[in-house]
Amino acid sequence: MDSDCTELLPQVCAVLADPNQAIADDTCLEKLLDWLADLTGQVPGISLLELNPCLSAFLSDMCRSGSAEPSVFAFSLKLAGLLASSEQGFIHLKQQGILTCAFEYQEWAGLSLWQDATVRSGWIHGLWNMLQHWKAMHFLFENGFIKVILHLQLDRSLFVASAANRLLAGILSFPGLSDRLPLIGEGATIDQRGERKVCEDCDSPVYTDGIMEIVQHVEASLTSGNPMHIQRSLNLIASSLAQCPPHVRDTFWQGTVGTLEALKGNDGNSLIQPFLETLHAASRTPLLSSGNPSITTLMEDMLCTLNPKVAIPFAKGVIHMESCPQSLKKKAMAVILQPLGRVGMLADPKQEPSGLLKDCDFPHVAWEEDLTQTSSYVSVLCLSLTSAAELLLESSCEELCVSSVVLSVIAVLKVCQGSSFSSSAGRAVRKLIGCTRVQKCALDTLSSLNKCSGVNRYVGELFSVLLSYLENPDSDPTVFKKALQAALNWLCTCSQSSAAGLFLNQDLFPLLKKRFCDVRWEMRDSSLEFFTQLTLQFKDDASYRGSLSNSGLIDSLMALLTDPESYVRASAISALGQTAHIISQEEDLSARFLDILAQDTEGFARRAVIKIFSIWLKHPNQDLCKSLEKHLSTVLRLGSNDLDWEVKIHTLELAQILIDQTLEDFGRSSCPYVSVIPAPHVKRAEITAAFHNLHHHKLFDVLFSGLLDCDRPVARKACTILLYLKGVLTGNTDTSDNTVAFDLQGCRWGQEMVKRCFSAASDSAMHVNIVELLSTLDLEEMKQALDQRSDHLENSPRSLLQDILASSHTPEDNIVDCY
Amino acid sequence: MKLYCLSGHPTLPCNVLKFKSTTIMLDCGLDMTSALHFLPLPLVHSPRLSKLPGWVSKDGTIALEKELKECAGRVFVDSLPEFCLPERELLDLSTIDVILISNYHCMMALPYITEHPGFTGTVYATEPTLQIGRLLMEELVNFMERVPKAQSATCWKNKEIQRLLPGPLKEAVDVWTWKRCYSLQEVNSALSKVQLVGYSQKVELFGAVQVTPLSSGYSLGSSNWIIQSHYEKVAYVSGSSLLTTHPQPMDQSSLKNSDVLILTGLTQIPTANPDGMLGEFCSNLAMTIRAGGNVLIPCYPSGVIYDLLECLYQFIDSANLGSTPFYFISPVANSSLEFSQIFAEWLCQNKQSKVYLPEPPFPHAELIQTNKLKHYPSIHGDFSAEFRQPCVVFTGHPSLRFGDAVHFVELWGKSSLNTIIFTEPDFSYLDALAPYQPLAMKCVYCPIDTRLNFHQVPKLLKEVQPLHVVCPEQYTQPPPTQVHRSDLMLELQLPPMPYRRCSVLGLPFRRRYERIQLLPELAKSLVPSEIKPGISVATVSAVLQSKDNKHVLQPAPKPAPAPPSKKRKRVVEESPEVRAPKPLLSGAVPLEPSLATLHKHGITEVKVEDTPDGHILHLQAEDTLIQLEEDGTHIVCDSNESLRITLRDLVLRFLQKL
Repeated sequence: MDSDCTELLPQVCAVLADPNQAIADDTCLEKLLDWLADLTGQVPGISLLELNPCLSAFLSDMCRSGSAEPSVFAFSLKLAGLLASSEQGFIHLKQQGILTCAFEYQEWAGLSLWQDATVRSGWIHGLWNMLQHWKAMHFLFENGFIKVILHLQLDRSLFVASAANRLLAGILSFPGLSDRLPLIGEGATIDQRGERKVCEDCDSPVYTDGIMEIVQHVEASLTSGNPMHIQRSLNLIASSLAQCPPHVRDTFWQGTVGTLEALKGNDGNSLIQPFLETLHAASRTPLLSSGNPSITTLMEDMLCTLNPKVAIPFAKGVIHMESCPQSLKKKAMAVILQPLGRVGMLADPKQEPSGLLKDCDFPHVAWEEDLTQTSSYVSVLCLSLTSAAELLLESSCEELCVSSVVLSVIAVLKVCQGSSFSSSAGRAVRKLIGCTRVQKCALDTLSSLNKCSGVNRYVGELFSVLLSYLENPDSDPTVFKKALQAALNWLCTCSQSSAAGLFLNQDLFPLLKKRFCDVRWEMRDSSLEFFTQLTLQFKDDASYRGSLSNSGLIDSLMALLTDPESYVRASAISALGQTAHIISQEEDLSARFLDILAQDTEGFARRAVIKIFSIWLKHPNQDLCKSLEKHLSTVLRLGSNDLDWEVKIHTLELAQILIDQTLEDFGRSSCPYVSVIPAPHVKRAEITAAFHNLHHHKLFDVLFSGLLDCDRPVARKACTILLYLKGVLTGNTDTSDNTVAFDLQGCRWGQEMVKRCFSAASDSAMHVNIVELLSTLDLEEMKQALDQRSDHLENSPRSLLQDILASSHTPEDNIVDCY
Repeated sequence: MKLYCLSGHPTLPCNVLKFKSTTIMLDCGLDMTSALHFLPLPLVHSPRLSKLPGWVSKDGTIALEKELKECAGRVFVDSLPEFCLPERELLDLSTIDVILISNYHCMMALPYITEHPGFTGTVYATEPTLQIGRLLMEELVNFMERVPKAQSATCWKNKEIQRLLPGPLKEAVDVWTWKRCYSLQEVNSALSKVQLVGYSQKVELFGAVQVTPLSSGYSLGSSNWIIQSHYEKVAYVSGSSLLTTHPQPMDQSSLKNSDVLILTGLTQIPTANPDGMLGEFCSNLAMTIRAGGNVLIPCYPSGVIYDLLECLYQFIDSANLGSTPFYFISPVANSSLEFSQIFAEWLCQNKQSKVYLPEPPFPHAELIQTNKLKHYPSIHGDFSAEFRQPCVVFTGHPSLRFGDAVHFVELWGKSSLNTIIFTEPDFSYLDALAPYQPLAMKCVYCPIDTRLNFHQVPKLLKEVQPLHVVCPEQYTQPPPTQVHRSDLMLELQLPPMPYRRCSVLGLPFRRRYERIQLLPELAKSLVPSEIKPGISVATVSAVLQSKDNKHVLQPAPKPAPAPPSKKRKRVVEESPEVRAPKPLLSGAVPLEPSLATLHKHGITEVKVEDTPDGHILHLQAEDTLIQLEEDGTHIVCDSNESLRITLRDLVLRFLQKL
C-alpha cells in the first residue's frame, strides 16, 4: 500500500463508519474489498492490521454500532473474515473481541439488520473468507454457527442459500477433517496422530456433533418432500461428495438414492438436474465401485427414462467419466446419436438402422412423443449434432462409426433444404425445412468432422450438399458463411480427392463470381473472406492458379473495390492482395490501392490497404516489390497522416518491416562466404547507409509524428520502434554524422518536438541528426508512461478511496444540480 | 348453393357460384400455356424459324409439313397461338348475373365470356384492375395482330392425327375448344361492361346478396371478395399476398367467420422464396453485365416489374451498373409506368405517403428522368436509334411465343455472354425455350411469385376460421415434381373440398333463415307476452310481400268500409280474415296442481295412469277422461257439456294466452 492510500484509509474508514454519511454507490465497497483482498494476498493480514489500526477500529465500531447501513455492515463482515484468513490475523481480531462480536449474530440479530439479505450474505461470505485454517473451523463449530448456516441454506434469498451451500461444502471438504472425526465402527477413538498437536484447541466431539448436525439436516431435507429443500441439499451433496469424510459420503449417497421417488412426480422436474449432478459427482468417488444400488445401474436407468433434452448432456458427462463401463458408454452414445440417426433414417429409409442405431437396445419409443414437437425436436437435434462432433473429435470413441455420423449430418442438411425425406416423416421433421438453427449446427458439425479419419468415401456427397447450400438463393447469410467454412475445411484436408478437385476447379469459381454480385453485402463479404483464405491455402497449387486465372474472377474482384459497403471493399482489397502474390495482373494494383488509401472515406478499406502492403513487403514477390518500392514513401506519408488510429498502427507495422529488412539486408551483404564479424567501421558504414535509405523513404517522419500522436497505442508503437533504432545506433554510428538529419522547424512533428523537448531552443537545436535527436528524447520514460493503461489513474486504489471520500462530501442537492 | 368449376388452373380460376337466386362468376382467367405448343411469332423475318423442317410421321403416312414444324426433337404448330378457354358447356353463360374480378391476371378470358351471345351481366372490378387489365389485353392483341399469319392450322387437331403426334402435343386436351386471341373491339366491348368498385364497398345484387371487394395485397387493385346474405357468408380468396410489396396490404379480418372459403391463387412456385429470387435476379444480372453480356427479362408489362425496377434502382449504384441502359419495351410500357404512379390510394402506406411530399410513389420515375430506364412501344422506330449494348431489356411476352422478346432471344441466343432471366412463374422456362434450341445464351430461372404459400395459408385460415374450405385439387397433394414434400400441400383439420375442371360442387351448408322486415305500424300493433325470462312471443297476422328478394310483413288490409247495405250478413261472410284470431295457448298442465284443483271442485275420484307421452286422468265418477300429453290436452266426456266447460276452464288456468 502506498503512502497516499495509508493516509486516505483512516478517513475512508471514518466515512464508512459514520451512519449519517450514506454511500450512494455500493460497488465502491466491492472494489474496496477486492483491493484489500489483493493486499492480504501480498502481505499477511496481521501486518495489514498492524500498519492500519484504523481497520480494527472500523470493524470494532461497526460491530458495536446498531445503526450501520446494511451494505456497509455486510462489507465489514466480509472484511473481518478476510483479515482473519491468516492465523495471526485471526488471533489478533479474536483477541480484540472483534470476531466474536461480528459473527455472534445473536448480539445484533435482534436488530433489523439480520432481516436484510445483504447482511446475511455478508455474514456467510465473511465466514467463507476466514475458513482457511483450523482455528477458523473451530471458531465455527464452537460457536454453534453450523445451526445458523444450515438455517441459511434454506434461506428465501437464492444468493444467501447458495453461499451457505458453498460454505457447508467447504466445511465438509476441509482438508484433514476426516482425520479428526472418530472412525465409524471404532466408537469415539480419535485419531491420535500429529494433527492434534498442531491445534491444541481442536476438540473432536465439537466436530463430530457439528458434522452430525449437517448430515441430519441434509437427511431431513431430502425426505421432507419439499422440492426446494431437496434441490438445495442435492446441490450440497454434489459439491461436497468428492472431499467429504467417507461415512458422510455413504450417508449422503443413501439419502440421494432415497430421492429417486421424488423425481418421478411432476414436481420432480426441478430436481432432475441436481440429481444428475450428484450422480456425476458420485461417479468420481469410490462410490462408483461400492455404491448400492450401483451408480452404473442408476445412470443406465436415467439414460433410458429421461427426456432427450436432459438425457443428451447427461450422456455426454457419462462418456467423459473416468473408467466408465463399456456397456454404459455404449448406451450413452446411443442416447446422443439417437436423434441424428433418426433423421438419417427418415431421409433415406433404405439406410437401415446401420451405424448409429445398430446394436443399441435403446428404447426409443419413449422418445417418440418428444420428437414430434417441433420446438423440442430442433433443440434436441442441435444438441445431438454438437455432441456428436465433440465425441468424434475425442479419440476415446473409436468404436463409433464416423461414417454413419457424416452420412447422418449430410442427411440432416438435405432434409433442412427439403431435398430429401420420406413422405412418411413426421410433422416435426417437415418443420426442419429451412430451419437455420439446425442448418448452422449441422454445418458446424460437418466442418469439424474433417479431422476424423475414414470419411473420405463420402467427400463427393458432402461437396454436393455443400454446393447446394452455397447455391441456394434463400440461404441465410450466417448459414452461407458456415457452409463456406465447412467447404474450406474439407478442401484443406481432402484436396487430393477427385471430388474436392472437381468442386474447386469447376463449381467454386462460377459460384463465387455470382456471390460477388449478391444483393446482400454479408454474402459478398463472406465470399471474399473465403476466397482469401482459399487462395492462401492453395497458393502453391498450380491447377488452382490455372483455374483462377481463367475464371474471370479477378475482374469481379476489381469491381468490388468500389463496392458501396466498406467491409466489402476491405475484404476485396485483402483478396486481391493475396491473389496478386500468385497471379500477375495487368493493372498496377499498388497504384489502385494507393488511390484507395488516399481517397476512401472509411477506415476499413484503408486499413486493409496498409495491411496488404505489409504482407507484400514481408513476403516479397519481384513484381509487387518493384511497384511497391515506387510508392513506399507515399504510402508511409498517407498512412501516418491518416485520421484512423488503426491505419496509423498498421503503418508503423509496415515501417517496422521495412526497418527490419533494410537492416538485415545490409548485415547480409557483407560477405556470404566468410563468417567473420565485419570490422566496426564497415558495420558503421552499413548502418549509416541503411539509415539513409530509411530516411529516403521518409520513415523517420512516420516514427516521430507517431511518437507525438494523441492516440496512446500509436505513440507506444512508435516509441518501441524508436527505442529499437536507438539500440542499433548506440555505439555503431558517428555522433556527428549528419547523413540523417532533420530541420525541426521545417516539419510539423519537429515544431511540436521543439516545444516539448527542446525548451531552450537555440538555432543549433533546430538542425539535429538522428543520433542527437534520439539521445535527447527520453524514450525510456516515454515508453513507461505509454505502457500504462489510459485509465490507470481512475482504476488506482487511491482514486477509489478518493471517490468514496468525495461521494460522501457531495450533498444530494448537488447531484440534482449537476443533472 | 352450388359451385361450377370452369377452369382447372389453380391460379387462373373461373368458377360460378349459384347462391340464393343469383349466378356469380368468380374470375375469368385465361390459360395461355397452350400457346407453348405453337411456333414463336417473329417480329422480323427469322430465317432459322422459316427453315424448320415440317413434321412427317415416322411411317410417312401423315404429312403435315405446313402445319407442324420440328425443332430440337419437338413438334410445334405453325399458326397463330391459341388459348385454352374456361369451360363453356357446363352451364348456360347467359344466365350469369355478375362477374367478380380479383386481379388483372384473372380477367384475360373476359371477352370470350361477355361477348358470348346472350350474356347480359355486369362485371365488377376495381379501377386499377380494369385499367391494367386493359393494358394487358391491348398488349396481347397488339402482339398478335402485328404479325398476321395467313394460315390457320386445324388438321392436327383431328383426334386420329393428334393421337399419332409426338411429345407434349399428343397429351394436349380439348384442343378443339382452343381459340385464337380476341380483337381490340371485343376487348373494348367487354370492358364496357365493367362497373368500378372500391375496397370495402358494398354492392347489392338484386337485393339477394351483397358483394364486397377486399384488398388482397397481391397487385395494384387486387381483391378478394365477400359474398354474403343476411345469414350466409362466402369468402372468395384469389391471388393474395402477405408480403410487403407495392400494393395495399391484405385485409384479413373481413374474411373472418365465413361459411365457405373458396381458396385459389396460391403461389405457383412454393419452393422459391421471393426475396431469395430477387437476390438471385440481381446477382445474375450484375454478373452478366460485368462480363459484357446483355440481359433479357421476358415479363408482363405490369406487376412484378415494378418491384424489379425498384430493387434495381437500389442495386444499380452498388453494383456499378450506373452506365448500363435499361430498356422496357411494350406497346403499353408508357401507360403502365404512368398508371402505377397515379393509383396512390391503392398502394401500400409507405408509397401512399410519398404522394403527399409530393414525390412519385415508385422510384422508376427517377430512373426514367436520369435516362437510366428508357421505354419504347416496340423494337421498331426510336428504339433502334437508341439501342446500345450491353443492356438490360424488359419485354413481353413471358411465353416467348409472341411479343418483342421473340426478337431478342433470336438476336442474343447465340452468345453465351448473354443471359435470359425468367421472373414470371406462369410458364415453364424449359417449354418456353424449346423452339429456340440449341441456345448458347445462359438461362436463369428466378420465378418471383408473391402469392400465399403453404406455410402462410394455415396461419391465415386459423385466423379467419371458415367452416369449410374449397380449393383446386392441386392444393390437396404435394406438387407432382416433388412428391415427398408433404409440407407443400394444404393439411387442414377439416379436409378441404377439392375441385377440378368441370366439377360441380354442392357446397356443404343449407340455408335455414331468411330475413323478413316488419313494418312499424304492424310492429306497433303487436302485444308481446313473456314466456320465459327474456323471451317474449306475440302472434302476428299480416300479409307477406316478397319483391326484389326482400320480404316485408305488412298489416293485413282493413276491410273496405262496408257500403251501407242491407246485406250485412254477406259482408261478414266475405271477409272472415278480419275476425280476431283466437288467442294461442302455451305452457304445460302440471299433474299435481291439476289434481288439487279438481279436488277443490269436488272431483275426488281420480285415477292417474302414466302413458309414454304424459298422463291420463280418469274421473271415475263422471266417466270422463283427461289426456295430458306433451303437445295436446283432450277432455273426453260424452255428453256432459257443462262438465266439459268446467274442466276446460280448469285446464286453461294453467296455460298462458297469447
